[in-house]
Amino acid sequence: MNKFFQLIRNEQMKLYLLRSTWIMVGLLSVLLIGMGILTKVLDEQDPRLATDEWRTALEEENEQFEKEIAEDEFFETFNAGFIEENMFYLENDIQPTKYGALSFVYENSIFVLLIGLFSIIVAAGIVANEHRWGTIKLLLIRPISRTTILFSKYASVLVFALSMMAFLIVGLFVIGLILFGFEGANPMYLISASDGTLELTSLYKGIVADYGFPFIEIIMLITLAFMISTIFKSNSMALGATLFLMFTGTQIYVWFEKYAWSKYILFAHTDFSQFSSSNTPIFEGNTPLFSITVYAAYYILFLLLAWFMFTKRDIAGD
Amino acid sequence: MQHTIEISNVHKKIGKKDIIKGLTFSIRKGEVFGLIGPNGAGKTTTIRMMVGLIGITEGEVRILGKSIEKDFKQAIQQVGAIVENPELYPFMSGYKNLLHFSRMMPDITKERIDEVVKIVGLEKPIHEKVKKYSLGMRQRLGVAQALLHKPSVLILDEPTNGLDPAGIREIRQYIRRLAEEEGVSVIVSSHMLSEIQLMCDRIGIIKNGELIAIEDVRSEKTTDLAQTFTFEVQPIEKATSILEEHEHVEVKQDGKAIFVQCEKDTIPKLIQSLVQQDILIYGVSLAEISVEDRFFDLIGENIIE
Repeated sequence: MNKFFQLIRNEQMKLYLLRSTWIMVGLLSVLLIGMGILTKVLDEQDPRLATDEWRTALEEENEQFEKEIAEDEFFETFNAGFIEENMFYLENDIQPTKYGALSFVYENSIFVLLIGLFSIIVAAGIVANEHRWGTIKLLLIRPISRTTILFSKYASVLVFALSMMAFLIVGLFVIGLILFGFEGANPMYLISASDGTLELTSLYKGIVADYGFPFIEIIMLITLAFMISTIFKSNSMALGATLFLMFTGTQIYVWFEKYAWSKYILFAHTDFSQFSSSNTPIFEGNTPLFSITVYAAYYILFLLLAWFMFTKRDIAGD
Repeated sequence: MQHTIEISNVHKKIGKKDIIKGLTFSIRKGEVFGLIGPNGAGKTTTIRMMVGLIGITEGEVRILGKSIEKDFKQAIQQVGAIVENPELYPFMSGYKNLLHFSRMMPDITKERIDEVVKIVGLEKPIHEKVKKYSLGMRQRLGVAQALLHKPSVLILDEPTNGLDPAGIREIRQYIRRLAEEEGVSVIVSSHMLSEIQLMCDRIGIIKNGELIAIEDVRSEKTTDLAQTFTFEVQPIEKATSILEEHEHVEVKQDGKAIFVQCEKDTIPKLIQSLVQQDILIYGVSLAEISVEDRFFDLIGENIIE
């Protein structure tokens, strides 16, 4: 186990000495700070919402929304939802949670996609690069089995993805804290349930769902990129194929939807948010258990293929 | 004599092509063994099989008695190697590269890393990035990583590649010292005959995937065994027939000189008999046949690139 830890240390050392890693971290930091400033400037909240005058503030806001719709029907689609939410607070006499760090974190879960992209880039390179540098030869002539080396590399990609997730969430939280303050111990927000009614839910739950579900999908994509890169020793092929599937995966499922076997397509089972109360499953009768089973089957298959190729391969001149 | 590496009847087939067609040789403790042959003869393939980078189709490689295929970990633990070019991580410093490989082997201390850095003389640039290194510096770093765990077997593919004459000399002396003082068995591959001749005890000549000869380099000058002597004498025909009367002597002539293969001790007797028969002797000399000559004899053509 200690040996495995040392190998992960090595992989992390190499990863963080590569310039490309720092470009990713830098880019992410700039985007997060930019997002914070943008939100601060464009989305200034009525300060009265945090005081006893919140009812007046919401009523005035609704009047403003109605006026916009009267001027241009285009606004109807956006504003109707906001009006409905404001009405909910007023009718139930609940003061809305003021905007703060947690809301900022919740609103910007889209950045998880970027973490996915970065992790896929790392997964696509971690084995292929050793071939490109020629260092694979020095790596595989140590008293360590190829299996251990391969899985230490896979684990390192997961460590990277998790660290980036932590960096993202903590980063958003800190920026949000500085710019917007903290909303309080038990922040709530409104979601519309699948039957259309509004429901007050804990913001923490929302954050866990909006970061957790995409992350499950990312793990699958990481594993896919890792497998392709290990089998074909090609960074760009792994990256290209995985990104293609990342963006078209659901579409691929839709194409084949009419066939009975389509329910075994991986991309019907990477998004587990289909089982949350506000969504409907991708096809009728899909259960969490079935999705988990298909997901696990592909996951094990990908790792087995990578393992088989890596341990059996001749490391000959490239 | 204790053998550290035993290679027995090793074959390698890639697709339908036989790359290595049955190699058998052993290397002794503390011996420097040269593997030489034209490009494409199978030197690197052989080395890759010895360190387990590629599978062995048939036959076996044993390192200190452990099979490289069946007991990979125990066998490879005894080996330090550079396979082809000393390719290291270009974006890391030399020191970080060594640290990286030290973590992959048991019980290598920071002191040991400093020690090997000193051995290969890289103290100054060790904290610079490897991409700034010259080929010679990379070669030294390659040797350093191979030595980290004090292996009993050192395998170096083209170790003098890219080194200047002073560097070559240094590496050569270092390899000899490792072999003689620490009993390390060293295998070097090369196509530079002159270098191999100077640092090796024995040389295996490999051609088309076969070991066609093993030459003893060290013992050549001291042996009592049969050597070839050149006799410059007149008249040649008569002298030839006189020499042929002696026992344990092989005689050849090309019209200008006579080549006699015999033990050194018999030379005075031969000269005496020639003098007694009034043969004019202009000179008798030891015909030095270098490994290079033999190499070309055996390979048959000059196809070293």
